Amino acid sequence: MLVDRRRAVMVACIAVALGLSPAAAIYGGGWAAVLVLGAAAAGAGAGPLAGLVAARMPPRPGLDPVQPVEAPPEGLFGPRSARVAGAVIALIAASWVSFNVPVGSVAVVQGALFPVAFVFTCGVLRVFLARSFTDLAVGVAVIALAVGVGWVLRGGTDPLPAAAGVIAIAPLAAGLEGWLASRRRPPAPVTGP
Amino acid sequence: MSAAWLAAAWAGMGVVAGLCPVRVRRPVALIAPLVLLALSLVTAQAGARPDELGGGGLSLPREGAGLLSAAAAALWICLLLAERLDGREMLGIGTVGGATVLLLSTGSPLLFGVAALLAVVALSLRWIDAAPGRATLATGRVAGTGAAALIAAALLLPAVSPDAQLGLLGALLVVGVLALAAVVPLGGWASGALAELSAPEIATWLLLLAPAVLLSAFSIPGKLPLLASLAFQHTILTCGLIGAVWAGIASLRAGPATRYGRVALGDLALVAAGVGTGEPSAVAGALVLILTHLVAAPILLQSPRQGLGSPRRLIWLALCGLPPSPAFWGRFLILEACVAFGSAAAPCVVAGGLVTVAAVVTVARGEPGSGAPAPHHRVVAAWVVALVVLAVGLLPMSAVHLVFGPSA
Repeated sequence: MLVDRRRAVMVACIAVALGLSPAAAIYGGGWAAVLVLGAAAAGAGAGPLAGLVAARMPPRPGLDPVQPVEAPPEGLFGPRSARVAGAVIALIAASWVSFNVPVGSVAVVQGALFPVAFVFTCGVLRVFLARSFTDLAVGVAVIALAVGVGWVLRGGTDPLPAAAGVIAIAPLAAGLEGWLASRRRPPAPVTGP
Repeated sequence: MSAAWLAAAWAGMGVVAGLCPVRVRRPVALIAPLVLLALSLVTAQAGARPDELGGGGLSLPREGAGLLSAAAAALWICLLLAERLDGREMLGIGTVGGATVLLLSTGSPLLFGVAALLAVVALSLRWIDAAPGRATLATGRVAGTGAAALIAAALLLPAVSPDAQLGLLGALLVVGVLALAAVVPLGGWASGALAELSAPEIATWLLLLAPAVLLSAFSIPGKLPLLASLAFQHTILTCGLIGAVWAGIASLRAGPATRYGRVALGDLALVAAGVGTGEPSAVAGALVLILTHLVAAPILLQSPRQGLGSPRRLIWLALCGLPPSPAFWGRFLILEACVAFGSAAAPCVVAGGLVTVAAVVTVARGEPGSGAPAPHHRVVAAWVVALVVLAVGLLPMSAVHLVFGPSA
């Protein structure tokens, strides 16, 4: 929820995957945990890999994913109070959801949905409070990982392929953000007379 | 050709056209929509609209293929007539179009939500790149939240447990549809973007994504449990009617540059109200309204220029809502659906009346064109579009059947 700067998507992918893999392992088995951790590894690798590819392409001025779309650069890593407040709201919302909303075979009294609901709500709030494209990418990656694990928890027939399809969005978001960050070059300085 | 391949074709052509070298980017951007139009028609399959919440594989119905091909044609005209064509517009059109193909053809609630999320990411990335600002960032924020709500709803389906939170399920679906279709109270992002973006960029959402979401939404209440269905229908009907009235007021207050966008937002809100009624006549009205804007938008989204006054007035008449304009039939069918559903007719009439006044005022005053006179090809295109939109008004259901298939 609070991670920023260039490696934000990578850090978010790893942190969320580590947090959710026990729940995935309990309800979906070993392969589900492998899937989540594999997505984290792919997310961690996709950004730098896309950056390497983009660095070989002709640079162009354009969207800097880290730069806030409408804020001065010095405000980039400014107050995160809105996000902290969002995380507190997410905590309460996830608590309510885990004890009141049944998902598939997971009974509400188990509260097993809490980590998924908390991470998902954090991702949604990160998107809703976004100031830059990196914020959107972090939110989308977090949502993808949470929904993938949620789909495993939900059960049903053969949930892993569908969960893998959703989780694949996380490395995609990381790669896109890394590619945009590396492809963009600052415009050439204007030389004065 | 399967729907999955069609989605890949839309996305692939968009990426290729958007990222190819500068010297060939413009010609490729002008050819790509025509190829996509043909591919969309080839992929059409007979049968009803897939049920997004009921499960099942990918299958693009004739109605969806008609929407995609008509949108491809409209976007081609937008690109052809654009004041400045960079070619990278195709990147947004292709990627959003690919996600829209999945949206229209999926039978899985999870894929429905994921497709919506991918479409929003592609759209917001393109819009932020084209015109960085609060309004375009809000696209990602609000519409992204809506797409996330649709994915969350997929996790709760099928809601068969007696403990299921059916109101929550209905609310998530409502938030998703309203945010993606930019209906009050989640519609501010679109009205902000209208003022900042060029015609092809706006059209990517207005003519492709938003109609696809609303057409898909007609199938949602049928498969929900009763309480969730009622929550969904009543909320979306109320928000749609409020949104239509609000857009009508805004269209009266808006300047010439954004007035058409406000009218289009009002009609999208009326279609959302039609979704809330769930009546068959609302589907027909929605298709007529969507078709009207698919024809009119490529001209009215462009800036007024000298020489385009007469055809633009004719197109505005088609939107005014007086018979026999196509907008009249669309709004009348939705009004009929609102009457059949309950006592929701008054806001519908007020919304239609406000938009009528805005259109009639525009026709009466004319739109002062700025800059050099429009080139001949643009004048000819405007007259052709004006004649087509009049033909839609004279033969609305024939036009709907031609574009969306005989079962529409």
